[in-house]
Amino acid sequence: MIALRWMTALLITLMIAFTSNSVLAQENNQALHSAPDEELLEIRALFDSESEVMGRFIQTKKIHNFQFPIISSGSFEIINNDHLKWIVEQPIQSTIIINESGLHIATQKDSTAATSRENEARPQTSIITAIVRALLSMDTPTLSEHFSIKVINPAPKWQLELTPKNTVVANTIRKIALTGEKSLGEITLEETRGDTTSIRFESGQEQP
Amino acid sequence: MRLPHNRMPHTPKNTLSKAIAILWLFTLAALVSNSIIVISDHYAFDSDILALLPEEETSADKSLVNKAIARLRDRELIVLVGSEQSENSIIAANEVQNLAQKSQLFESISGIQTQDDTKEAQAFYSPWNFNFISKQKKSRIQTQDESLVSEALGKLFGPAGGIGSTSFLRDPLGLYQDWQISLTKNQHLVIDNNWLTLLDSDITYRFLRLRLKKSSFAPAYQQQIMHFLESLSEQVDDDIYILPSGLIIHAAHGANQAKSEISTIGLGSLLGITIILFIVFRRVADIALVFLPLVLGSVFSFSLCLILFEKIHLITLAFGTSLIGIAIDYSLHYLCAQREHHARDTLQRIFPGLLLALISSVTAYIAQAITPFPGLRQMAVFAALGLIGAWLSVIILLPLIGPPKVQKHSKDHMQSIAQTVEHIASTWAQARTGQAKYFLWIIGLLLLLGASQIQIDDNLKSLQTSPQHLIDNDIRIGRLLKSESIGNYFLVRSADEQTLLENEERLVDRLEQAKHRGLIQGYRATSEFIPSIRTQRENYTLLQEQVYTDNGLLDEMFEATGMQQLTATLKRTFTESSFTPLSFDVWKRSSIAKQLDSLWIGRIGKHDYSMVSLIGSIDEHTDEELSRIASAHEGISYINRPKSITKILEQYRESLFGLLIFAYALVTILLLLRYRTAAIDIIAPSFFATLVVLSYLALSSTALTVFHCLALLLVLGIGLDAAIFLKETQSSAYTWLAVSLSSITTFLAFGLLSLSQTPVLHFFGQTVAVGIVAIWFIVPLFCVHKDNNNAAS
Repeated sequence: MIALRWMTALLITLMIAFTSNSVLAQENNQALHSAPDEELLEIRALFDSESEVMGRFIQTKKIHNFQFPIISSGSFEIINNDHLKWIVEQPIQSTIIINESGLHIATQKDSTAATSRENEARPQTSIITAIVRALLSMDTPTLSEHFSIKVINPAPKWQLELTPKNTVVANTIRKIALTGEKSLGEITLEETRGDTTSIRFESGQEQP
Repeated sequence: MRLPHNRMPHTPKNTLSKAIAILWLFTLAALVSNSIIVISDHYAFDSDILALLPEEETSADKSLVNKAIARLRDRELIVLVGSEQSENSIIAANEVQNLAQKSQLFESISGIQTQDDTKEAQAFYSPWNFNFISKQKKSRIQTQDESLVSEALGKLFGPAGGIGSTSFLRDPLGLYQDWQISLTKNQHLVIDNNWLTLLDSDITYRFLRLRLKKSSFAPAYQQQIMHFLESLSEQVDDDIYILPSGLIIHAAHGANQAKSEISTIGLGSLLGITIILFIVFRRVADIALVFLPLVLGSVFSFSLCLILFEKIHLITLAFGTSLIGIAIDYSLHYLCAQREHHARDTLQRIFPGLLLALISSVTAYIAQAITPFPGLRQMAVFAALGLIGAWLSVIILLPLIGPPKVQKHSKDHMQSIAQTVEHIASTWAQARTGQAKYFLWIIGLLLLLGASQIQIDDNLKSLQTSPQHLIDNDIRIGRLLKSESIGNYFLVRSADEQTLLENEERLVDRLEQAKHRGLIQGYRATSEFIPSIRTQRENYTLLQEQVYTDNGLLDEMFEATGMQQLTATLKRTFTESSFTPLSFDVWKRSSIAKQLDSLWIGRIGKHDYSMVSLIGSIDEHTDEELSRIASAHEGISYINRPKSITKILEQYRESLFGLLIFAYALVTILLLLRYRTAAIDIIAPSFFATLVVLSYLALSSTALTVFHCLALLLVLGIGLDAAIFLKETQSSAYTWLAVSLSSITTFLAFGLLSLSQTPVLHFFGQTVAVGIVAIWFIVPLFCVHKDNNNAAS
């Protein structure tokens, strides 16, 4: 059930990483979060910590002004709460790893050696991973720094909506929707430029 | 020498004198009214210290460039509003922004970021996105680096990958996005809660940049700004830290210190002078008469300089008026001589002395006027004109006012003072006879030895007036913001905007290398944000030839995915947008350009200018490397402002010291014509007094600066006047009184400045104080009770 936490962490990480004016979260900022409401707490309670999670996903990306969706699928695994491996199997093979040191991309072709140099331009990487850790522990205050979290539907068939608070984030991301039951079912991210990314998780993949 | 008393018929002479006096006053009035007209028409004094550099061919442009730089750099006030409580810092920062807006003191205020600001900044470049590639990515495309493709694919198929402000269709490889990220590499501030924010241990700072409406050196504006900053601290809560930083704070502090010192020291000296003069003359009107020529002389000189020079430098005003100070001798000698003889022909009797005193002093100053240094020249002309004006006022106006109808006891009183002074002087003068003579020779030699030990110091830092806490504050802010060095930067010059950008790009390539070698922390250049059209075209062509061409990187990317429609759409998108350059003019109107406006100077004369600034502190070694980079490129110069100001001070000191020697030689020749060998007696007091000053400085481990040299000119003038008058009147008691009064008043007026905390004033005062005391003691040794044979006529 850690999947939700992971996915949210991932989304936030990427969002921050790809928003050109990087947004720095303050670890000591306890300020602007609203009191976590009961329903949110209830949903949070559905997730308990597991050391290893695996699953499969299907991602559908709709690009604005381009009629065909870009679909990819594969599997993912989370090890020790801080190491995400995102393995794309279709249409090409590619592995994305997110860990303490940031974001790494490796394709089958050039194996593990060719990791992305994305991090060079971003000295904030260590801070981003710090946020990831905060998110791993479902740190609602940190989440609330960047998003207003709204419970659309309460558990068991829950649905959350995250709207950016920060104008920089809001310039890129319109909103994020999360749905699920006993585990995270789907994440939908809407960008302001009109692109939409939906990631559907195949349930029952968790292994203790 | 004594001139025969030709008693001229009273009436015609009086009429003529009156006519001349009226003409003189009329001239002065005309000059003053002209000055008022000129000054009221927004006249601004020159305060750019670089304008004091020797003139070169390009000087007009150069000084404009310097002015533009000063305007860009000096008119900025950074305010950091911090608190341990993040939300409190936001509340306080909002309050500060509101107060700044309400105050209407600032040209612009940048604080809280609106959604439009960031959106505009992100979206601005998009229409031209194919023209922008970061250096790193560019070389990877050139080498056909395949990992570019795998990265792009990873982002496309990865979770929520490729989120950005530009459509994927326009930037499939993420090149444009990477370029945008590369622009933020020197950005140490982050946006948090819509504020540019800085985290320093426990404190969260919000960042405000205020652009000043007026110069940092405008006195009234300085006060308003300081008042505003004080009111900020009062209005926000106690737990809020307000850290302001900007030249204006230092300027205001320096001005305040100088002002309060000049007013306390000045008040003290004015009081002292008034009391002394009152004790001697016992008449308020006489005290006014002592100062009247000084005032008129200064007004005369100032008005003429306004006409003669395009711009009067503030330094000219400050030191020029000080040098005019020796004109007090003319009125003192006149008034003393008048008391001595109580006749209307005073002027005729002391005229040769007065004339000689004027000529010798003016000669000394004229020597300055032949230097290539505009500052010295202006100061020399100012001082010489001031002396002439004061002198004319003495000989034209004072005789008309005539001696007061003194009562017997008053005359006796003055006479007794004069005689006492003379007695002291002549008693002391005995020292040069008998055994003591050898002792004096030894002292003289020791002085020479002492003077030769003098240290020199032209470093700008020793003139620093700001207290440590202000400097610490600046260092702290500089460290927090990793801000650009204010004193060190590159100046780039080209015939037009595009070649200027190309020139900058060449420099940036070199700076990038320097950065990799760890020489500099970073740099900031306009061309990073608006590449030259040449570079834009290069980038576009690179995409055309390596990415979008058949079998290019794009085909390679989608080869395995089987997404032919996507490849086709991407290629079509590229080809449909043929190359259109982002022009400098369009860019300049954007909000991004506004944030960088402190780098772009623009067109001055026949060239366009810009600055490339450096981040972090620059050490000696780096300084040399950077100079080398600049000298290897046409149109690029490396500026180290503190160093060049130090250089100016050094050049001025050197040439002033040389001029001092030249002035001595010139005056000696002049005096030889009149006094033959006795000329030595006239010049000796000033000379030895100068030696005393230099020895004193050497002994007290004070290094010689340009300001000491300026004061030595004053010492020369006063010494000459004293010796000439004593010689001319055969050291009459009244002349002694005048000499003593002149010494005391000069000591009080300038010598007391040695108490000042402001280095420049302190140096000047120190020299004058020691010099004047020395002159008073040395003059008798050469000019009193000497063999009458020696006093040649």
